[in-house]
Amino acid sequence: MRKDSLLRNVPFVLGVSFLLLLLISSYLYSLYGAQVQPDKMLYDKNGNVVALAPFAPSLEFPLGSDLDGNSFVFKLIEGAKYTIGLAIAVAFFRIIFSFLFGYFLFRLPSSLRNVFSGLANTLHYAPVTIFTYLLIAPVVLNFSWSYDVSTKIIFPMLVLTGISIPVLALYIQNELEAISKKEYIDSAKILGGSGFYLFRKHLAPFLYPKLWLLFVQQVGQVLIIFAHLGLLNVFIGGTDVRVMDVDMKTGETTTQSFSMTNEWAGLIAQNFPYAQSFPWMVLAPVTAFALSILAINSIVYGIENRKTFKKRAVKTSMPAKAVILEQEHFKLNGSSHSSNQG
Amino acid sequence: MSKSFVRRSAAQFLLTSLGILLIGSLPYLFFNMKSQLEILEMIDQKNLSNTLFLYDTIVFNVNAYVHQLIHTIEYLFNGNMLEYYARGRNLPLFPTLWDAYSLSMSYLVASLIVSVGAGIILTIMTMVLPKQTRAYIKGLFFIVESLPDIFVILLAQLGVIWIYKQTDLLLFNVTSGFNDQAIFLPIFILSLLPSVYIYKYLLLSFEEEENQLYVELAKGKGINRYRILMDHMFRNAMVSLFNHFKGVFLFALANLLMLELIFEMNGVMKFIYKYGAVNTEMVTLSLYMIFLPAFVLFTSIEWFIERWTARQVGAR
Repeated sequence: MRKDSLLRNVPFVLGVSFLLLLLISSYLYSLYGAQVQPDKMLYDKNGNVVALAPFAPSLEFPLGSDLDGNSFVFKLIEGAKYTIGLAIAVAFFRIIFSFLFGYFLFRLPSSLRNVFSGLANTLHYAPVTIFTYLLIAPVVLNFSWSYDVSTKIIFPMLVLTGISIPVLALYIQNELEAISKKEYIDSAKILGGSGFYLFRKHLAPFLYPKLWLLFVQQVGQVLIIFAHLGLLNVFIGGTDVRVMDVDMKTGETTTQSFSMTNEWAGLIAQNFPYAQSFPWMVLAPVTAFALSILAINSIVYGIENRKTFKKRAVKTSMPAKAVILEQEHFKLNGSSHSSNQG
Repeated sequence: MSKSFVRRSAAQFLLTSLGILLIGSLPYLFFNMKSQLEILEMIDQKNLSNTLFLYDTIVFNVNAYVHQLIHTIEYLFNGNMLEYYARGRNLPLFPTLWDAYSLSMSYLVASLIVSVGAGIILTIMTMVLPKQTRAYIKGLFFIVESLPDIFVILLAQLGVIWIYKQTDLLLFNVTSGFNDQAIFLPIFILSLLPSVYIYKYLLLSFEEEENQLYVELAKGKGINRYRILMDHMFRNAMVSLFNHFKGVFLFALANLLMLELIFEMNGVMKFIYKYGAVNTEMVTLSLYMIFLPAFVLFTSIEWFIERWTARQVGAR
């Protein structure tokens, strides 16, 4: 195996195997998982009731249980495929469309491009979650009566994809700009290459590794937005609002949203009213989000510091050069970080 | 002040203002907002109970969008006649929005100051340490930084409750009521993650500075290590931090949203969340209220940096 192979990269392997394990067990669980009827009461050896659902975290219920007595571990595993799957899908489309749009921006005259970047600057003055929410909420919450289920699922996905395209496209356009300033591009131009050919043969190949990294980062970003939207009471993959209770005096209705898929954001939204009395009911899905995002970030770290790990291996055999190598590592690290702001 | 700087800032200002206007009214482009709002009002006023017959699709309504843009501009220059729709009634926007806004902004500004301070102190403390120890600390902060804000803020809330249960010491009313707005704990929690963010960024730029030639030269001249750190590297690292201050600000805003929701504070983010979807004009106004001071801040920082570097270059 090559020394800089990603398979020898500990953070990368840890992150990927965590996510793969989660996804595989999620599919296996919904295929073969035993449908155990949950018990709302917990008995001791003599058959006395010791606890009522929701149960606090214990050995039997590592992350606690929900109101019906279902263990959160299984709920989260079942929901993983929807949450992570959707995040990967959204991130994928984000990259595809940003790539196309970034190329379009690249070909645009710089004055128009500056106008666009000035407009896109708006997204720096409020969290992305708010913009996403304001565009999704009419469909799934405020006017939920008039849109059908497929609209309620597809439209949020489109918004989640579209909202990040301006910023990502500008980033890709910047990268293209930087590559096109290299000397070999001039040579290619002199040799007669132009326009799309130049892009396809000389610019794009340099962009692909960066796009991969961007893709993984975007999966993490989408997961964070999912978690936020859960707290904002939006269920990705359809919100079902039901009227639970009507106050006779004021006529105000108490509504509650439901998610049938155990999708994580939905679990946060559904359980947030119980956060004060049964903290684990919200903490469990949030922890699932946190762990997945940690896994994503360690994959990103692994990819970004690929060369470093190779050099560390060299370092052990040749301690005399250690200082210089380490300096290079910090420089690398710094430049990759400063280019990722935005 | 140089002319090009003013022109650049003015263009940026106009474009971003236009962008806020365009984004704020976007719902009118995709939904039949007018008829939907009428139906919502009927439902809220109990004139309509059966909504099963209603059906709508996503539209692309350029006419209504342009109309709403003009309406929003009128709304913004309408002075104190502003209203917002909530549960079947139109309520006066001020002073409700103003109260929410000043609450949020005071938390935001205070926590930004705290996190810049904490970030700087932590970085300097780390920079004094040997490189190997630094690597461990960086690893630890990598994990902390990876945690989503919602997780950290939720844990902080549970921590407050736990401390209260253990010691009867209430650090902060976990859910704010009227009149007893807590000060220290929200600022503390709001500055946690931005501090880590600033710390990470500053550490990187400090380490980048460490390898610069001028540091070598200063070392060679026998200047004290701390003096190099505090005098020379510090200044340059701060410049690159403030060049990225926009990112810090945005990050803090996202944290503010989570804080207001989890601690049930009536800040501007919560206000937008509750009423924003049916009051797009109000959203546009709130966005301007966040944008204007932030823009002034960023522009003045940019101007100071520009002037400072110009003077440095001139002195050389």
